[in-house]
Amino acid sequence: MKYKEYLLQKVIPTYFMLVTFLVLFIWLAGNILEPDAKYGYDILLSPLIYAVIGILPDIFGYSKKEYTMRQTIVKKLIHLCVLIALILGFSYAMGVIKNWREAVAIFFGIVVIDGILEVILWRIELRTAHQLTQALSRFDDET
Amino acid sequence: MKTEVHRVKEKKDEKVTIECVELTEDVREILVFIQSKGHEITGMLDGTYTQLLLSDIFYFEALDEHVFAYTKDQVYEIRSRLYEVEERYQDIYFLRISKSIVVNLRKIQTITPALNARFTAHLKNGEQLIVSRQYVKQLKKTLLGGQKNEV
Repeated sequence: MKYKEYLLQKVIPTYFMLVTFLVLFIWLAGNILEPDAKYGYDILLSPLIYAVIGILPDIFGYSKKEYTMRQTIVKKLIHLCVLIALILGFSYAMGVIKNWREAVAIFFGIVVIDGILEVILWRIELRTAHQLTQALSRFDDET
Repeated sequence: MKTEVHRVKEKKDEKVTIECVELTEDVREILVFIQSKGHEITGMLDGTYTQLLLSDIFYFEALDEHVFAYTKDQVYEIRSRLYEVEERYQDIYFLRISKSIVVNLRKIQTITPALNARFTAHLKNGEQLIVSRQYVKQLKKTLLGGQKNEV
């Protein structure tokens, strides 16, 4: 997969999925942690900004090399750790994190959103694999 | 569809004739199947040369400048290069799925996802082959895009 294809087929769809899940996460976490808080219009930009941070490891983690199953799992774990560090660091620097409860909420938010994204991507690949298997019946020489 | 079988005396006189109103996909499938049945390739096993039917070959693999043909339970060395095998037999459903493997699509039982945008092809003899990320696009095009109907 060339870098351009990688950006179009993986990174950009991931970005928009992240935006969606971040909106849901902010709504959920906000209602639990600070239900009475009022924010200005700027808050609308935060999912877009955090999603950009979220895809940074993807943008710079591109490799033409084909990893084995084990290497891929290790790469995904490193990816998750980098993501947690980037988002927590950014949030702290911007003053979003004011206490440890918020840090823990963001940490779990990242883990859950990353997990959901992986499941969605896996389901897409599973559906493609099913379509390919169905198509193979055309070539069956034992029927 | 009506079928007729007439016996002939000589092997060289054997032929299959298809009479159809239109060359539909089904007819093309039959045609390609018959053509592949007739294809043979020379393989070497334990110093002995053998004629192999392409329809018996599960996949070809290139290893250290040598190319091997894998049947259900034997491995034969063949004289061709992998790219020659790929070019020569692509019309009868042999497709490259990684740098070193050309697989017979009719020998794949199922396809499942592997991580990292790759797939695993489960063959009818129980073997599993990885469809490299680089070749997934061509596999989709061949299986889902109807690219193999030109004969």
